[in-house]
Amino acid sequence: MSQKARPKALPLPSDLYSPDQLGIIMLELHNYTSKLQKLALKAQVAGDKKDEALPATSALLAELLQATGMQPDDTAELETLLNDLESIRASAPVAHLTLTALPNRTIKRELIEWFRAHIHPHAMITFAIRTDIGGGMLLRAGSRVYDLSFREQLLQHKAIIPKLVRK
Amino acid sequence: MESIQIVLIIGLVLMGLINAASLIWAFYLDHRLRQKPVPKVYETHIDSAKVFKESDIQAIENIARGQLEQVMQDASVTLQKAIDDAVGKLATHASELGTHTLDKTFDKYQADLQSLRDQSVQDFAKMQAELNDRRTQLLQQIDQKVVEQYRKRLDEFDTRLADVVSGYLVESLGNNVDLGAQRAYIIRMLEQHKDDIKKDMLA
Repeated sequence: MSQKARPKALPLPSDLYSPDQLGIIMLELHNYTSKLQKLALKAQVAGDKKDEALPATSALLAELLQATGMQPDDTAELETLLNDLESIRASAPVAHLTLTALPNRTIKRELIEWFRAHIHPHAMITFAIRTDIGGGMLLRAGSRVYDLSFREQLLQHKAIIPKLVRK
Repeated sequence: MESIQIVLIIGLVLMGLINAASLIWAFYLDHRLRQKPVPKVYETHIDSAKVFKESDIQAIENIARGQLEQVMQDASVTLQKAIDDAVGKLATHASELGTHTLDKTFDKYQADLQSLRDQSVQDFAKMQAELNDRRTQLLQQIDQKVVEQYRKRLDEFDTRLADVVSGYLVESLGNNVDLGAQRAYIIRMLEQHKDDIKKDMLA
């Protein structure tokens, strides 16, 4: 079993941004580890030295394993990773963003990278849609809601509108 | 005017008194002459001889009568002259008094009139100034009211315009959303509230 020097904060891939995804990945990782253990046990009982094919993983789990530097066939590391993920899910700060449309992957990545760079390395975000905010976003952080929408900006600066119209 | 009337009345009264005195004086002289002791005629019956002749007596009576008439005439002339002098002096005095009084009264009247005129002019000037001030105040108040009404109407119009435009903009912005165009704004807003967001998320 290889003992690598692990970074202080477990790096998470940018595509893994929500608590729901994290739960799914943990379940997948758990199943994956179980399958791996069964395969290892089966090979040990059968005395078959032949390498068995590893179970298939989702792209996100593969990305996670790559980002964390874990070996996909090392059950001990995988279990450690699972425990770490469990810990992250329990303590990771979550920001809830409401936008006027569902963002594409690029924008999601950009947003989660910003949160992980400036707020917390394990920050998570969720997305919701509301078209009546006009644009911008509503951000709920903890118990506080930041109204950074276009509608709020328009209402706050409504007095300027007649001047702009007259121009 | 009252002084002149009083003076004239006094003059008339004085003239009346003088005339009355002249008449009384004339009657008095006449009475005295009539009461002069008439030489008693002692009827002496001298049958044989008379002291004066009838013609002498008649001549004496004529002489006495002539002397009496002369005296009365002199007295009358003297009295007439005195009355004329008195009347002349009185008229002169009255005229002087009247002229002096009239001038004085007229001067006083003119002074009073001038004072009244000056006072009237001052009052009118003051009234005119007050009217001008009041007019200016009213015009200012009207201007102020007009400006206030204009601003109020303009504010109401601006409020409605802002409501309509902002409502239209919000509704329009919700359709055909391009999040890529909003990306810079969203990141900028996150940067602006970074510290607060971090505090709230890690709390």
